[in-house]
Amino acid sequence: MSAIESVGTYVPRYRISAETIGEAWNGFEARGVHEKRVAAGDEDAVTMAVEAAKDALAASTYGREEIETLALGTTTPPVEEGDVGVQVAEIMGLERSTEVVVHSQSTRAGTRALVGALRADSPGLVVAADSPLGEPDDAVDHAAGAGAVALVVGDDGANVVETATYTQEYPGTRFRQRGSETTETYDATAYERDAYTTVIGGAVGKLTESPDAIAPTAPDGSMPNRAAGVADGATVYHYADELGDTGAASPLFGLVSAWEDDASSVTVVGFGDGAGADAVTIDGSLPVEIDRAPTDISYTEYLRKRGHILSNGGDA
Amino acid sequence: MAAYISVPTWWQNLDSRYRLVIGECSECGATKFPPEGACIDCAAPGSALEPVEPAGTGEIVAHTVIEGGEPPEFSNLIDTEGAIGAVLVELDEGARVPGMLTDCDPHEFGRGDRVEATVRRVYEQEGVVRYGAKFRPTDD
Repeated sequence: MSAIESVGTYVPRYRISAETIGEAWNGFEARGVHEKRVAAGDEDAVTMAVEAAKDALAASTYGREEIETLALGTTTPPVEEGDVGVQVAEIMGLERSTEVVVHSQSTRAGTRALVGALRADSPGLVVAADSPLGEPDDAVDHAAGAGAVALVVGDDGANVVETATYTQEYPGTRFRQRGSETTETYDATAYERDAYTTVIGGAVGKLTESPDAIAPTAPDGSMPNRAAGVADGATVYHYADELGDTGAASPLFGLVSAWEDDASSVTVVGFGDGAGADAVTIDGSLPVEIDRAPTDISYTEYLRKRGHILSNGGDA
Repeated sequence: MAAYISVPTWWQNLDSRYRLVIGECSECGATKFPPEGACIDCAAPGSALEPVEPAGTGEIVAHTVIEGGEPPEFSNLIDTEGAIGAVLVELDEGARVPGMLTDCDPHEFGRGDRVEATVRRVYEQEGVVRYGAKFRPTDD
């Protein structure tokens, strides 16, 4: 498959501002995030993936019975073992012959899912959904947002003209230990920035055409701007300023932001700590907008919805 | 009091839990949820019911709010969301479906309000997450 045929998005209803979190902690640690979306207590990567996937299928010329591949990318699967992709397929009512694959382990999972689906010779549904969790006092949690983007890939639409990938080990920049609910960082700022720019630059540098615009993985609203320096000064798009860190979905939300701005050639760059990056250049654009009306919540509501405080002890 | 449902029993009705699949009577056209047993209108036997996937939109016809004393599998949801709206929804196709409200303050919605289905975590029990359709308010 060579094109993105339709796009769908989902963001949770609940919203909290950086100011509200900053008041609770005498400071807000996530640079460039002004507000973010918060998943309700009954939402997770599976439910958000289903919402975005339904939205993308509704905009597609393909019916769900024609989808032959489902590729799901998330760093926050609700279980550590067990096929959450199959759950998405079952909830959607996809055919039993659908090839289901889940990409995880790093925030590159969203573009991994996209590249995988593009390689299949059949219509596919790509979904990236994430809702990261950190310790309440750190930058990971302050940045952590929630949302999902789904793409239907087929023969026509916005054309994927080129892909490139790059891998180089940078241990420990961002990770989640086995058995842990919370993502952490090593907190060596210069090292983390070096990993991000070197690996993104490596992938972008392998493209034959320099990008006009890039939509890189956005762990906050500031880091993406560093990608411009290794992408010939390309215009940078992300949604982290409004949605927070959407993990594996963040480069695809960047694509949505670029399309909302009528950008006609965008290189999506999925970066995953560890580290690896995929660069996917897409020509043309599709109609899309994020229009879900928000409801603002207090910091205590935030703590409850995120499971930081529960009557059984919290951080469940 | 908890209404315990084992995973194998839960699994038997995934189509109805996820996509509210209803039964349409091939004799008289009436719809029924769940899609089993005799037709509620003409009493045709259950074999006359054809599975139909509804749009998922409808109207609340009965409503109550649970703020405490909930079954234990719902205690985390009470903690995270504060209260649970329990509703009976008449789907646009006619069948009446029990469910829970989501994405709203359940005190602010009730009989006559329009809702649409969305799949959410219903609860987690014995380590297994149970997903199912809930209802959220809609202007459509």
